[in-house]
Amino acid sequence: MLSFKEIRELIDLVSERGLSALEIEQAGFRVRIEGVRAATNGASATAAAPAALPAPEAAPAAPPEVDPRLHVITSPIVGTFYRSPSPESESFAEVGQKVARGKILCIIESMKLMNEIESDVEGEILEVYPKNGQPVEYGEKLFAIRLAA
Amino acid sequence: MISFAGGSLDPRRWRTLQNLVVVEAMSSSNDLAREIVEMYFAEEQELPPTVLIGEGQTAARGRRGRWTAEPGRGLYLTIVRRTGAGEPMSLIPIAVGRWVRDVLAEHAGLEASLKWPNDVYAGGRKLAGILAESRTQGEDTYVAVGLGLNALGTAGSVGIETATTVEQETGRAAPLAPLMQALLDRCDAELSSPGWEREVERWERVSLHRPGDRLTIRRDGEEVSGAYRGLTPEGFLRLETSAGETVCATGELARW
Repeated sequence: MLSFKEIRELIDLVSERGLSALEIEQAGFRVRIEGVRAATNGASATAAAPAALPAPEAAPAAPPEVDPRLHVITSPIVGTFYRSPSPESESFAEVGQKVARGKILCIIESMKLMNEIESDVEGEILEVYPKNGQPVEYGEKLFAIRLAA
Repeated sequence: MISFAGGSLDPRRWRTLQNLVVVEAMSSSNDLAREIVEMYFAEEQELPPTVLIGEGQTAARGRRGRWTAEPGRGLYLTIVRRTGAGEPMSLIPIAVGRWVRDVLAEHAGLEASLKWPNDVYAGGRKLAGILAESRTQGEDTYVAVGLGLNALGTAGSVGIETATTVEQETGRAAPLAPLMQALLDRCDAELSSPGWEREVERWERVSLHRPGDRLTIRRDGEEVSGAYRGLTPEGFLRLETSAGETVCATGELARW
């Protein structure tokens, strides 16, 4: 069976090199991939931005960041903040922990949509603002991270 | 054209969905979506909107755990894409539920209804479920919307007491490929010209819930009951309780 990574590489082949379709058959396993058109890695690949909803109620304004090495991660949605994948498991991240870019920091659930928030920087977690299970607003501060030097 | 479930799918007519992947057997299309997004994030590449179909899934994921999606019985897929600027994430689950419901009405003549937020019900039983997940890194969010729809066989063949199938409800065993094509055409059309601001009103019209219905939400181990008052503009459930109006953005609708 093909691994996810191999399937992903096939998607790249089809979409980046303008192949129309690709079909691979192994014993008992077949994968078929079709690209509608060759995608350039640009804006054309993204759906048109939809009309905006009425703006969500603004979260309390964050004070201006004065420390250039301080990075604040805010919530992209309104929902419930969870620090761990399930009540029994350990937190994704603790204060004092060093995190790399791509590290999952929390989950925000809204309408049963589980949104995993990753760190977009490398650094050390200085503060976790909401409590586990607390509702958070759009734009509300979640984590403060001191950027790695 | 690409073969699927004894028929074929034509992705050429789509404007937004760019890749179609059909795998005969996989563990879970939401898991595949997750792995692929992780790789694209790691390499700072942009993944074009992609449809991942597993004809059968050995460890399909639902909100209550994993299950086996038997090949040839239903539609099991995940659409993964980067969200547009300002796209209201909370409306995605209710919108996709309604698109599925509308396709069943137009294509299979089955008038199903929606249980908040996005379960598709017919005859008091569940016909389809949606598991939406997303991942945000900085300004980029990818959303993966997984759908499992019971199409063929009887309610008993699904193996879940409270479930049903399109065949059970309509008395017709319609082939899977045209239904999948209709569903993906609809998703593509909606994503190409989104009308998010109209989704709440449209959802309310085809919902199982009528104003005044008594609903009970279970969240964080507690139950909240109240009279249904419709949805907020974000799609959250409004309940009139003895203590006033409560808005639910999360939780499981336990009784309705």
